Amino acid sequence: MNNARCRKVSKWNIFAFADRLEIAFREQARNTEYTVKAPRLSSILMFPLLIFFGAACTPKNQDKEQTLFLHLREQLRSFDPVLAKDIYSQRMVLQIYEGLLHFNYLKRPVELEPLLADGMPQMSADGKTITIKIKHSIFFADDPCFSNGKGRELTAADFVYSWKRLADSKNKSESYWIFRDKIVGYDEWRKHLSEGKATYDTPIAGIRAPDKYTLVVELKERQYELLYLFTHAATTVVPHEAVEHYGEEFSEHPVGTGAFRLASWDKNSKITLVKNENYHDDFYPKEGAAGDASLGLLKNAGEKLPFAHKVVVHEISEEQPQWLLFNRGDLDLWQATKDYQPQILDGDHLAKSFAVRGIKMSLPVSTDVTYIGFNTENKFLKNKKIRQAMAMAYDQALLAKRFYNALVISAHGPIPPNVEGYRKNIKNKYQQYNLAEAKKYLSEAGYPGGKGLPPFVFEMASMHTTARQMAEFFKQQMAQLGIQVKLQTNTWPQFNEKLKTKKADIFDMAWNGDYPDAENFLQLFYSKNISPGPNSTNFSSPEFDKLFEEMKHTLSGAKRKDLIYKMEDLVMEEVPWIFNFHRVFVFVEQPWFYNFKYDTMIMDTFKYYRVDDKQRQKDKER
Amino acid sequence: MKTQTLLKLSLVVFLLFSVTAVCARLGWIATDYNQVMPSLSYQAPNSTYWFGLDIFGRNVLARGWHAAFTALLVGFCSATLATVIGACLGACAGFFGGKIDALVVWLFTVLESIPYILLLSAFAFLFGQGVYNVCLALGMTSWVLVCRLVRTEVMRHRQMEYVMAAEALGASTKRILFYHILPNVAPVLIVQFGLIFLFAVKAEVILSFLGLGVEPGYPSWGFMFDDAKQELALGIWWNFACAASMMFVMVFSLQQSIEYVRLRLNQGIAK
Amino acid sequence: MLGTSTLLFVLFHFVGGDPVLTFAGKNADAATIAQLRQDLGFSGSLLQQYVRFTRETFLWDWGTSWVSHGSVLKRIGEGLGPSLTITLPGFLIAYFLALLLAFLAVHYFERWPDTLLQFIVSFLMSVSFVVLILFCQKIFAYDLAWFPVYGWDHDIFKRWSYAALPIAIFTLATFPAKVLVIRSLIAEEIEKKYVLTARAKGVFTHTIYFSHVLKNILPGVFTMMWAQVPALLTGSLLLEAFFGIPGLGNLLLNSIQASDFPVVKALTVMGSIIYIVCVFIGDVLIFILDPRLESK
Repeated sequence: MNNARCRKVSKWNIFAFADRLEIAFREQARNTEYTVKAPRLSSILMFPLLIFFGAACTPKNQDKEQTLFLHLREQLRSFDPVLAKDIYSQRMVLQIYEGLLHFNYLKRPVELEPLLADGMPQMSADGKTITIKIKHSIFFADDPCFSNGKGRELTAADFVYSWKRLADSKNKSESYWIFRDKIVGYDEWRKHLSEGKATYDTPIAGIRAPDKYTLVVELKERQYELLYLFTHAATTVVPHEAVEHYGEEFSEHPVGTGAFRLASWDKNSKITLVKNENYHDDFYPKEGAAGDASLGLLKNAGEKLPFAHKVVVHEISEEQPQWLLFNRGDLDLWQATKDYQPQILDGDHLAKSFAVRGIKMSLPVSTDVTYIGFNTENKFLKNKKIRQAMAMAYDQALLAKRFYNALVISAHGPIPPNVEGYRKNIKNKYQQYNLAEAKKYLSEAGYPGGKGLPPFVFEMASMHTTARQMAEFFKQQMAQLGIQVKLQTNTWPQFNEKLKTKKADIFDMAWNGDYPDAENFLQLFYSKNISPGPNSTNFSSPEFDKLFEEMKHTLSGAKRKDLIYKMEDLVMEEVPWIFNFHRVFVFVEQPWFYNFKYDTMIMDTFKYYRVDDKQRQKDKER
Repeated sequence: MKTQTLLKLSLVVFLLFSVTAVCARLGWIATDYNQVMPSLSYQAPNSTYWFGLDIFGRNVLARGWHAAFTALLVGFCSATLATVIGACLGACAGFFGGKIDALVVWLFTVLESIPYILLLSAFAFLFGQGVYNVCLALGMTSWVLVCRLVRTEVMRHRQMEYVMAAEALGASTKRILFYHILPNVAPVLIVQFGLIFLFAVKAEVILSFLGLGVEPGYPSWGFMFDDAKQELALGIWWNFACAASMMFVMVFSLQQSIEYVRLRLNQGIAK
Repeated sequence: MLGTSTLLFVLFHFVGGDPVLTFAGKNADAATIAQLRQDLGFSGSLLQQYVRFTRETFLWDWGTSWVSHGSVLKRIGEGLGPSLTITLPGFLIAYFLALLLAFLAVHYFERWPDTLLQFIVSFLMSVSFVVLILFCQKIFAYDLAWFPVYGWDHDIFKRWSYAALPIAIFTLATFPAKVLVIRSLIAEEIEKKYVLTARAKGVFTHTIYFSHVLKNILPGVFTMMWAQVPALLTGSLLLEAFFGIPGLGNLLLNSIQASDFPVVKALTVMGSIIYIVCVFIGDVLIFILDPRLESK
């Protein structure tokens, strides 16, 4: 025994050391005087390790009956319709809440349809009065906020209340612009409320509920977009009991009339929706657009909605985890971003390895436009020729290939496809890459080879990797003209501030359509919308303004289209933007997932989706 | 001793590395770091391009060297700034004591208590992007540790006999500080300088990665990692490998060099 | 503490984008913005704003988050659990590991196991945290699929499968530094006379190590440990961002990027308070642990 303890014996033999330890421990077991920490140390170490590995290897066998597994690319902000300002929150809101109208799921171009309204709204002859009938027997979801826990019936007064909330400045709603300056007495009520001179009981002249199922809206003047706005998430109806009961926590406790209700929300992680037992009758459309039948989109025509009993939505902002989850079959539907598109696509078809698995793909065009904006009030950028030169030095084809895998539609002007006024086959001279012409224009502007121009600052709207890479691309392109560009990352709030205070000279932006009408895109060039409004380039042209105002008073038809064309031509020539693209999304669905058809404007979609559980189990075990 | 030779070797490696990086910056090697070859995007490593090409068709290895220089620059400037501020404030606090000491202590307690990332982000926002701004931000947040150490050392030395002797002889405060105390504090300072250098290099990478660091387009390992984040899943590993290995070589050799310097200085003092 | 809050106020005021403009949204107009400015408390002179800021801080009134519109305190409370689930186990394991390895190293002081350990430790310390995360996530979660890549489960049992890899990475990243420090502490202690006496007496090596030396270095180790406790509570920003863990680090990052002032303010001020409190408690505990200090 004594020899074993002598260090010299086992100088290089680590096993002897271990032996010694073991002998020692056995000795200690007999000798209770000394406390030994070492064995406990190692066992304490082992225990958690075992738990980790054990738990990590546990298969996840959850109840997957008619459950959809979807994801959000950004964290959900709020379930409160009035506060849901980003499209992700709006999308979620519209699964739980409903508005007067919505878009038919299948018809393209998108068509308005009544949802909670009983028939389409009736307009008076002068267009200033809209009468809407509300459907009977629509009930809110059951919730503890109601007196007996059961959802009560919807009435027209609920709409009046919900729209008042939108105007309530205490809610600081970003969607207030929807009804601002349009409805009689609306803005005055908002002011009086914030001054304490009015309450929620004070009536607004422009929104009345003369009886339980009738809603009447009085406008200051005819508004063509208003009907579209009745589909917006912010105009959906909420019960006052829920707002009063939950107070500040209302954002997390939505109570609506929609097909689903919120079961649980693990913040920044997972949202679980379940079917709303009180959901009114709603059926899958019986007819759709051309080609829908062959895609199998009419299989469930006329059937009662929703199909799913549960929806699990993961909030994942990183792309790699999204991809992995989809690949393992844990996500039913996925929007593939640029870096993963090459893995899934073969040109613009699905790659063989995925097609073989039965995975489906769709490439819907988004109702948006991406662009690089110039601050037209900047000393140098005021000069049209400089802007035109920069546009022609920007190789958009390369941009499309490098960053979008060429899966985009080149934009010649601000109006996207799917919107009335879009012209398919025209070409914008300044969108074509022509370095020689660009150099010529720059010389004509008085700055040959870029001499005399200061370095411009290019503001990025985010700190995202891809945004940075695209900015570097712009810098490289402008270097061809001899123009120096400095790049600046920003957080969204910083970027916004620069835009609205006219401090952004050249910037990278996109405009997502609020509703499918050309006006929503052309208003971005209207001089009355200059910063802090949405006209971030501060573009001002009296000729444009005249055409714009005329368009606002023209009914849909040939004359309106003509005005739209003229405005677009004007903007194409003036180049306040380098028009980039209308984005194309790449959606992939698992073979067991059905009824998916995407459009930027249609958000209340979960109720149409259907999964085949048997097929899912079979296919997952490949 | 064997360890000492290894450490000496590390110092040599570090110096070689730095010299190469400087050469790159001076334009003697790796000149094609900004040369864009869009059609050859993401070319895998081969005999001409040891680490392949990045998304814009730029030579990854060349960018790596320039990024190395950025790291060195940031490390050096931040460390200098931090050491100078820390030493000055620490010396004042330690030497004069009383109200000045209380003020300095209060100052760095306040700074220390703010979560580090936030302080750094705040300074980064405040100063904006760019290499020198990053140096400024890092310098201004790292001086605290130096200050603490210097203050303790100065306080300790102040009590020693040689200082009292110097004071008795009528030496001016400035002379005492610079001529007598400073050389004794120097070893600590040098080691701290090295440590902050190291820290700054690592921090710059993280800052650039988060978008708070140098200007985009300027080569930095942080940006290479940021690009790599998305590329790895696609099987494009060379961007990551280049940045990771270069950074590792530099950080490791620097670390060992500091150890070596510390050892030698301690030996020197022990004499 | 007044100093801290003043500094924070100054920082917030001059740094970051004007939150009112972001709040107003893309279709705002001047009137709406002015109204918002008043509602959010950004009107009035700088001094008025400062007074309001200080008052709210001292009254522990953190208000509502601008992003989620729920109580700030609630959000912070929700984030605390996940952060601690990662950092606390990682912290403890790192220390156990560090202690064990340090003892092993000293046992073979200056011989090849010690050198090897030092080399490995230095190696690990040189690897950037970012690199470690990217590498581990790719190899262990993606390629080998031993761990889930991303996500979180609030259930107390299910969450460990998501926490496993982050904890492992956290441990890997933090234990090297500790090993070196503890090793030098032990090395110093071993030189002391009582150890020599004990060895001569024939006491078992492991007893010397664990019963005697360990107890004596405990104050030193404890000081080191305690200084890192505040950081534990804030969680690791990078880890949480990459693994989608809804902890305080993630909350801070998101709030900074969204300019959610109330949350950022609450987190930083609370962080400072916790730091100060920890330092204070730490001093007290040290006295309890090492009675010898009392006489100093």
